[in-house]
Amino acid sequence: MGNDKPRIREVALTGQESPTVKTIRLYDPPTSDAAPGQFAMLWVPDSGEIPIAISGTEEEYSEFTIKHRGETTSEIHDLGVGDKIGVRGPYGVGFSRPTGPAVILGGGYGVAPLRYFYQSNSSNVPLTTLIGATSAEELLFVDELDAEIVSTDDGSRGHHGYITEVIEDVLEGKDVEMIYTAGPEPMILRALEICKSRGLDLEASLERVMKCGVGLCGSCLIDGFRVCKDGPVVGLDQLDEFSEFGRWTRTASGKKEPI
Amino acid sequence: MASSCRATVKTVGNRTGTSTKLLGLKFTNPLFLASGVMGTTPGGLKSAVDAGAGGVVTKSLGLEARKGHSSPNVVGVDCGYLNAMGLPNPGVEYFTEELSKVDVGAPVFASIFGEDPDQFAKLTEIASGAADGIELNLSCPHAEKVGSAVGTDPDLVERIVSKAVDATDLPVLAKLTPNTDRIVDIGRAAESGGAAGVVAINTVSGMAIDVETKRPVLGNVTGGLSGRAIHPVAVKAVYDLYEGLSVPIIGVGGVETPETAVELILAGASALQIGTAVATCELSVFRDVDRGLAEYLSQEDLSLEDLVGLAHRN
Ligand SMILES: Cc1cc2nc3c(=O)[nH]c(=O)nc-3n(C[C@H](O)[C@H](O)[C@H](O)COP(=O)(O)OP(=O)(O)OC[C@H]3O[C@@H](n4cnc5c(N)ncnc54)[C@H](O)[C@@H]3O)c2cc1C
Ligand SMILES: Cc1cc2nc3c(=O)[nH]c(=O)nc-3n(C[C@H](O)[C@H](O)[C@H](O)COP(=O)(O)O)c2cc1C
Ligand code: FES
Repeated sequence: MGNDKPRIREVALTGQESPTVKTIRLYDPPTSDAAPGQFAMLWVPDSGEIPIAISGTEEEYSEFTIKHRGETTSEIHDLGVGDKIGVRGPYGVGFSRPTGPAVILGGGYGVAPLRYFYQSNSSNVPLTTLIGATSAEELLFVDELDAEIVSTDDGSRGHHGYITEVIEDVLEGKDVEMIYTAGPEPMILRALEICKSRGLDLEASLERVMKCGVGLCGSCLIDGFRVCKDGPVVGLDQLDEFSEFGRWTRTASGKKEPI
Repeated sequence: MASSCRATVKTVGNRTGTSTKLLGLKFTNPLFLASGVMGTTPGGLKSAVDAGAGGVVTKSLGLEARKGHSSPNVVGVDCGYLNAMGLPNPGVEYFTEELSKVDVGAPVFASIFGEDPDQFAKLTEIASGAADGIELNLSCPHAEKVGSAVGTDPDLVERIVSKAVDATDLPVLAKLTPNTDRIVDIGRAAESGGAAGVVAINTVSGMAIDVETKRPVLGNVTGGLSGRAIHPVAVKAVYDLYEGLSVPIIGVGGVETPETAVELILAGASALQIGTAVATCELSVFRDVDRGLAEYLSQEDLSLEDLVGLAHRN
């Protein structure tokens, strides 16, 4: 509880990953110790507080890779080195450690938590990375994650179309046990179908409106599951059981909204 | 944090000696999910019941959908949380419609908030479509015109309760604020208005300021304190209400172990609600507290009814 109060940190470094995506680095030991897939609540005083995945760590520093969306993400994009931001967490359940050959499947800024997952692969299990984005300039961390295949919606680089359209080709002749994924929910839904039909395992990081991050308020519920506390990373069986996953999300008032 | 949840009362197997009848309803145990915690969807209510809650209360519902206060909505403090959610909810009709399609598995109280007696009557009528009881939120400390804004004047409380009671056949509970020196007067007013019981307490008014940025942390500036920190406040409120009222009292505030539950029952609570502990502990808190309570009752050779208000006798 005392840990759920924002710690004020200075931005130590910033980096532009794409025209709309920026990474900030903070000295923050608690989140630098997080499991890949866990997230933090970032607070910009006088603007707001939002959930953001940890996208990498180095010693006692953590990184967050943020897409410019609306008010608070735009405030974060305006921060420079030395500016202050609040951080609490880490929260939730992260990815498991890979034990055999696996595929990393990332779409849009969903690559952020997967980058930290890739960094943390100390067991040196073979990982094949697939990354999709709207256009070539929006592809994230392609070199860092040694992506085998990329796709763009506009065809400006790699496969022209969705990244899910190439998964099955990639899987042919590969001895893969598991897919680790994060990104748009329709992409995750398609990956789930592929895993089920091929007998592969899957872990996916999910997104919902998160107002508390600690399991109190219920704003992040999928069916009765608290994505902030018992996710955001969920396994195949759990995903398959959800009635709302892939179909409905909830607005800030709790009304259902189609995905 | 987890350690504070552990029971020191020894627990046994899956013995349950705590099923209870109250307000004309049957409950498998007297531990209910408190309003606003996970209860923003019927699925959240069902999760609490699956985890052992004997009953559940919905998020407080208003006539219109609202998205709540700007963030931060929650900040941790020592021994609890401050929240200023701002009563986000999808609207009473929307929620009632969704709830009517779900079998939650235990009695459901619909919590409602309004600005005046007529709004409460209308809300009660609509919410009665899918609930087993109504809880009037006369106590949220951080929303304008509603909650404690209509919950500290005994005359207004009596009118609100009596309008709500007239609008339904279901038992109506009044949820009271601790942010007053007149909680017993307000409880009595609810009783005169026809409330089947009272619920005490809602959160204690509070705020947090960040010393580095020198800014209030909550988007709404002020909020309500919940969790272990407010348990003694709840014990005192329930104790005082038990002296002054004859309707059943449902105790809420900082329940997370069998001891904290027993203490509120000794003060006069016939049933309890659990909020913050579903975050600070696991959802299994309902089952854990129930087991510890059952064990306590069997050790003391008392029934649950015997225990209620026992601290008042010499
Ligand atoms: C677990 C998790 C991890 C995430 N990780 C990343 C990441 O690594 N990189 C990234 O770019 N994005 C991430 N997001 C999404 C990010 O939180 C939203 O893009 C962001 O909240 C949008 O805020 P905004 O103010 O810029 O947008 P607006 O559209 O202006 O939002 C307005 C307001 O709505 C609220 N809001 C909107 N979305 C959310 C939300 N999901 N939760 C709580 N409040 C919300 C905020 O209060 C916000 O101020 C993640 C989301 C979740 C749930
Ligand atoms: C996040 C949160 C939201 C709440 N929302 C409501 C609400 O909508 N209506 C209400 O009557 N009480 C609400 N409460 C108050 C609780 O129902 C309860 O009275 C209070 O938290 C004390 O219990 P606890 O210490 O077990 O949490 C809320 C509490 C929290 C922490
Ligand atoms: S964000 Fe509040 S319960 Fe998950």
